[in-house]
Amino acid sequence: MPIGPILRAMKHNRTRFALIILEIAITLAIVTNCVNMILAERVKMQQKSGFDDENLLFVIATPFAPEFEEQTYVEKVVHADLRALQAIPGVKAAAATQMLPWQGGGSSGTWKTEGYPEKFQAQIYGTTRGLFDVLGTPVTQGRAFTEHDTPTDPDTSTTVTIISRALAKKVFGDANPIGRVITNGEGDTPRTVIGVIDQFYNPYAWNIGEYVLFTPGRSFGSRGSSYLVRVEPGAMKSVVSQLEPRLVAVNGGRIFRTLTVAEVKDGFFAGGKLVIRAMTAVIVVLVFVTALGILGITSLAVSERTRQIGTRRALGATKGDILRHFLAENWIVTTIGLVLGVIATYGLNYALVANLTDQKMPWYLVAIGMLLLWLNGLVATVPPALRAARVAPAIATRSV
Amino acid sequence: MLEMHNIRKIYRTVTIETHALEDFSLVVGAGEFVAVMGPSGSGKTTFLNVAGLLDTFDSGTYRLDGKDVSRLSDSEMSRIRNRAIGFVFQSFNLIPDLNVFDNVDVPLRYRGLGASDRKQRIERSLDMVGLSSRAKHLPSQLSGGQQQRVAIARVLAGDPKLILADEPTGNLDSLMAREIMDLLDRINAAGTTIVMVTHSPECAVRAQRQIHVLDGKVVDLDVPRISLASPAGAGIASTLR
Amino acid sequence: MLTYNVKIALKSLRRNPVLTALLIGAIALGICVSTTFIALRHLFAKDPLPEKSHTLFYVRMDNWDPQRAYVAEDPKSLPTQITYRDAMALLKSDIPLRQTPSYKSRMFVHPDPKVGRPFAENLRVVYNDFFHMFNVPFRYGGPWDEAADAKPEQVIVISQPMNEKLFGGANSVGRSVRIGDRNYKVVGVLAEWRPSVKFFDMTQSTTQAVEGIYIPFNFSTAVPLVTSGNSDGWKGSDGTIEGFLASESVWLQYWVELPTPEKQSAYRQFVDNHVRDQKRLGRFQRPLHTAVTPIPELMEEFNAVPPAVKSMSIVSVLFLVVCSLNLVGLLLGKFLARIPEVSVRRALGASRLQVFWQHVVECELVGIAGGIIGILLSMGILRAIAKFAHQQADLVRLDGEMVLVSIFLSLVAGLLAGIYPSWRVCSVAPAMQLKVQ
Repeated sequence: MPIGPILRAMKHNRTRFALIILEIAITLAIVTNCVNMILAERVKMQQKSGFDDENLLFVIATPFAPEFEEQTYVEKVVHADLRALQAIPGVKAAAATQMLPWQGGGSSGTWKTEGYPEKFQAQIYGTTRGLFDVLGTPVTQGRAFTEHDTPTDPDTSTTVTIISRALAKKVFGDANPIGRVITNGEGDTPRTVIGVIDQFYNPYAWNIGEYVLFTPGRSFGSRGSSYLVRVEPGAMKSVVSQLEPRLVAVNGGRIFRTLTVAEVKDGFFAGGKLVIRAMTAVIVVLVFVTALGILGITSLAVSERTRQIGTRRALGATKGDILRHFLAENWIVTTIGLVLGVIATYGLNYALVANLTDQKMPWYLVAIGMLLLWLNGLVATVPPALRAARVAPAIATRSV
Repeated sequence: MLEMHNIRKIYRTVTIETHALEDFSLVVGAGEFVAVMGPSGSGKTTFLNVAGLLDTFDSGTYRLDGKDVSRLSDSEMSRIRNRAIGFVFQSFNLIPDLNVFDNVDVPLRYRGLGASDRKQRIERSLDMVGLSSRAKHLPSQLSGGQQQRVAIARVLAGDPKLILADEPTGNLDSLMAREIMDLLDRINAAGTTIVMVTHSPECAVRAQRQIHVLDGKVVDLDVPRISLASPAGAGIASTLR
Repeated sequence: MLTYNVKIALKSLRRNPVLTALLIGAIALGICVSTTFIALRHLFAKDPLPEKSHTLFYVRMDNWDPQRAYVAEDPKSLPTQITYRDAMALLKSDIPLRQTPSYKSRMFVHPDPKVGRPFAENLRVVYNDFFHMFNVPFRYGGPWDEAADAKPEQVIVISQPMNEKLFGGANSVGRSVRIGDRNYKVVGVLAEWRPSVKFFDMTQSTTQAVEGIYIPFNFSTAVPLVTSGNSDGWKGSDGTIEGFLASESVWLQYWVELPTPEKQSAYRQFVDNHVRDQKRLGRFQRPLHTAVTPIPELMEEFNAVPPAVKSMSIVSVLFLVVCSLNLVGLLLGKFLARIPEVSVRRALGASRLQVFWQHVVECELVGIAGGIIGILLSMGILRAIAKFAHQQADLVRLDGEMVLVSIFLSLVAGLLAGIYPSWRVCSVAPAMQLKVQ
């Protein structure tokens, strides 16, 4: 197809083509940036906790009865609670801990260890022994907690810890972490690493989602206790219905709140899901609007040029020639629009990255976006171009 | 060159059928200059559309340059229009977005000629119509006569065997019209067959032969004066005046 | 003339209903998308207290670990809250017109057994200045007085929903509520108070509802109360309440009202001097860094507008631009097809300006119709979003200000899209007959 005359002819319809070019450029910028944001959200969502999320539930027991001021009583109740929970048919394992996966936070501290130059941050949770059965992440190196690890005096700090593989890698590298000592930021409360679990992820503010220290015993007191429970697949409903009566039977001077981890996870991702939906809607509607725009503008161009098309047909242009003429026009316009669009894409990405904490634009997204819009332009041009090809050559002799 | 026998063309809409051509027969020899005359609605334009393969017909036979062109596909018709036929329209039908050079280039492009060949043909034909200096102008910058000369250059560049002209002077004043007719004369003298539809008697007399069309048929006007006096010829008479 | 223009425009719009629908649809889509996201942004970004936002300031100071900044990657980062020790020292200043430390806690409320079982409720622990500073609206009674803060007295202010829950909405001033193991006297009941962003405590989710119960700050050590909000520390303490209060843990928000620029600079000096004094005692080993920040800047710093909402509002405006470009194309085609008619009008004596206005009016009619449809669509979408987000469903909506903004946007879109095509069509030369090509 000869490009020269098409280009020269296009100069006389500058406005129309400028409109399509701008539209395509902005559309490319929006689509690629929206997809980029969607991908960023999806990456966050695809992060695995490493736990049996679907079959976990969390119970918070908050006491108002005065007897809970007594620490020894609290401890007795916790043990009775755990026994009661484990007795419910369908319950696989239960542990008293304050760790609630996917709540978007938890407790953390600043730590030090010999051989690692800086202080580091990591999550920390106390737990009774059953936790690793509940989470479904066995201790793969070293040993699990035993009853001797829990200090008898509630005011003494614990001396052992089990950490996540990611934390071990970060601070000890490839060296054996077992037997190493981690202290708090001032070098107090030394704890010896006795075990490592392979899987751990709980989202946290400072990118410490994979770093955790577990300590044995006592994460409970007069302010209440909480339990993480793992159930057999499919048993969630029946277990939830039996929880409260069983715990009330242990001590009724408390209120209970039950959350399934699946719900908590849903809540954690609600914002992200909303973003994905909104962005997807914007992309779909925008691509549709742009296609309609190209269709509309090209249709007008065709009806405006009916006589010209007839003349070309009279001069020997085949239907294919006319079709190719409009497609070539569209190809030129789309290509210019896409080239401008690449600039706009990076410009918009820069504006968004500068303002917000979005990620950089990967080149392949831009390439895919260009291909998509190129096809979109083609599809939108075909109907009016076909209509143009059907213009009868006899139009040329129709008198004015 | 052009042989039409018993051509019939009917325009159909949902409610009415219009017989635009009915039993239309005409033979034009190679090298002839024929003027086709007739009142509005007589079927002149339809004849031109059919002759120029701009439109199909319902029955009859049509041989162009010895070849039967009665049942051709759209792209075969396009090919013949492009190579064998040249059109000169009343309203010039130049493409407003293209300059003079590119306008003359249009049919050559569809013929798929090489760049140097096209350039040579365009320059030669513009030279023949005396517009070499206007190659870069847009149609809107030219006078009507000049535009029609560009349209003729567009025909000449393609070296057609047959030129079909539709009221080529209809939109021009008499001085310009004479210029265009002189040009057509010269082209005909060089051997190209011309069939021209016209209202204008001054133009018609420049042709070697005049054909009259009425109600979709060629009427035999061997004795034109009688016909002019008869009531049936009233339409023609008024046209001639 | 305007009515004539409107009449012609309506006639022209009716002539090609499909094209008219496309035109209106283009504007409606653009307005709908942009209004929705601008409204969401507005919800988070709007000034919660326009009359006072520039005289209310939030105090921060860098008391963090000398070896490690509060946000390890950013050495300039400030702890988001301050320590109890520093709050007590700041309270001694008489520069601010009003001031209060503030934190969130949680306790059990024991209602009359006829009303229901005990339940846990969020409390906010503040000085009475809190209510005056933030223009907190009261239904019954009012804030406790200075004496109640000084003594302190066992008094509370409760929110409207809490008053519904405990007293069925009756005037409960003077009644008593059992919280924990003590009885508190109600002195005030708030009217409905639902700031769309919880601007007075942005250390946790800013879309949380405000607390149900307000209790004098000085009373909290006697209860004793501990924070249920964020508490960050870098230096261990001995685990007792006293130890915690003396520690470097930050857990208090601190607000001051500084009505004049003089007071503002004097107060900044005061805070810096306090830190310098403390440096002499061995605290504050990092470089001197304090901040006394007005509400709008603070909202910016705490990202009161979620980043996704910010991005979406930028994107949605571009979306409107694309819709307007479409509109320009369609209008251009529509108007140019009308050139023969216009050239006759011109021949009959219409001036260029008249032709121009006639077409602009047509564009604006499209703009208004599209705008109205867009706003209605947007209301529906916002309702759906509120439902999906389960949060503050009654807050996610178009307020009057936003409706005005959207109408303005649609008029501007109609005008911008219409100007060029109208100008093109009005520069047609007059002619006496309709002529094709």
